[in-house]
Amino acid sequence: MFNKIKKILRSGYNLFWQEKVISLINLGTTILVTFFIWFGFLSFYFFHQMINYLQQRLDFSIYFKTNVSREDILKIQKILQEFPGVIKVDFVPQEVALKKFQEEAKSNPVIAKALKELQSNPLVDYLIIKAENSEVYPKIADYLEKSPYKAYIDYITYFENQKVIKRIISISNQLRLLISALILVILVFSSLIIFNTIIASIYSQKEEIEVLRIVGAGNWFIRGPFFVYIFIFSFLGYIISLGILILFLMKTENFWPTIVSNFQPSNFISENFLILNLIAFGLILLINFVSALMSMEKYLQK
Amino acid sequence: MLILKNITKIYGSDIVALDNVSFEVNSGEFVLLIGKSGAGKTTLLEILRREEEPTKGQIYFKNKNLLELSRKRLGEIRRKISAIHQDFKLLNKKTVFENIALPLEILGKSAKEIKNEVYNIAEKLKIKSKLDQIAETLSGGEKQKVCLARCLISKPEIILADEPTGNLDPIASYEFIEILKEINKEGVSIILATHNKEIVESLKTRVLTLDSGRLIRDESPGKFTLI
Repeated sequence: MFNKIKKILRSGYNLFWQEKVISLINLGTTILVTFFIWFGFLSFYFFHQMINYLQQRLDFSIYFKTNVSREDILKIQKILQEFPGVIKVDFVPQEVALKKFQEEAKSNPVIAKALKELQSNPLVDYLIIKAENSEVYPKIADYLEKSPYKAYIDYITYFENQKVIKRIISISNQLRLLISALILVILVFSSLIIFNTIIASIYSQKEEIEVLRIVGAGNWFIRGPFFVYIFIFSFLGYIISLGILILFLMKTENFWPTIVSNFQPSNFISENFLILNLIAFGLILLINFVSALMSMEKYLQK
Repeated sequence: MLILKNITKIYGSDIVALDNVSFEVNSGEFVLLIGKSGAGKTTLLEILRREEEPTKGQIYFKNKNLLELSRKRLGEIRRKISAIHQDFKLLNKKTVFENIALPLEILGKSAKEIKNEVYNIAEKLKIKSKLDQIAETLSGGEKQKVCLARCLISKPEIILADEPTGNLDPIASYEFIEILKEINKEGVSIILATHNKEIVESLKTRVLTLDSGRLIRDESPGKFTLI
């Protein structure tokens, strides 16, 4: 058994060096397909970050009427904090709101002067709500609209941003669909490329397969070297393309946040290094092995 | 040792390659299979090693029904019923040693065992000096000897030779047939398909004649059966 395994491993290794041109084509295909798969991952991450970024930019604040007591506002804050999908609810009293506004207006002398001349605080108490995603905001707005607290509320910024929020929800849903379709197309395209190069590799070995059948080799003795061969070029191709990708992302590290501020592919890769590589390399091996099994079958029938 | 019962092979719906062929081959027998091109000789030999499946019929090798064997056990049978082809079927880019060693590597034998057995066979067939040579650089006669050595190394009980002298010159053909006779004397049964009249006349052994897929004659020296 050990001798058989040794022979299979040696034959697979020899096949890699014996068919140099085909090995080079297979290596090139693996590199290309690895790039495709990583492009799929990074696109997914990019759109995910872009949606997050846009959602973070959304302003959902509840401004209260001047006659509403702090106790009532804090009660509403507590209720909203327990609302499903809400991350946090910050209370901003009118004094803090004025101070913030004064700070922001420092650079604008006209507004700064006007603020100094004010006798009373024109701003009101308000709550800033952060939710897990933009789909939570319409639900909060709907809840408040139907609640007894409606009378306390002066206005909600959501209604001003309603169109933008709905558009973002719609875009993010469409993008999710688009990314899934994109990844599917990439996988199908990659499988076709690999399948064809594997067919060519096996076709070049059909005489050897025939001879092995004649002398009584079992199916696994014939398939074994091809699987070793596939593993060698898949592994080499994967390592080469991963190296190129990492180098490229390191060199362009400062560029990506200029597109979307929270988009940094190298962080995404390093945080999910093991799982991403397992998926990508696993996919390549799976496509290669299945292609080999399918294209070899007709030569193993006799 | 080998019994064929009503072997029929039909390709597609109406191309009859073999039609109810039945015969027996005893241990140590030398049988010639003759017939024109397209008579069904190659198909019959392929069916005997289950490289082709018959449409109908039974094959028994040492009382085992070959057609009932699982595909996994075919390797074992193909080492017992070994084959030689007109076009040699060698691994042309590999050395003579590697070609002969192939069946032993399939069996998982150690490098030492393989070396010993390959040297013994090569010495017997007088091709020891060619062991390191690449197969495609050999002459036709030498290639056929390598092919025979590859058969013999797995100690077959039957050798099926399909036009083995088809690509050889008369001297190489004669030499090859002489080697086959020697091997037969050692107890290995041989079924030799040929349409070379000189071989048929010189061997004076049992002759099976196929015509359009039908076995029409079974002649042994001193015995003649018209089927």
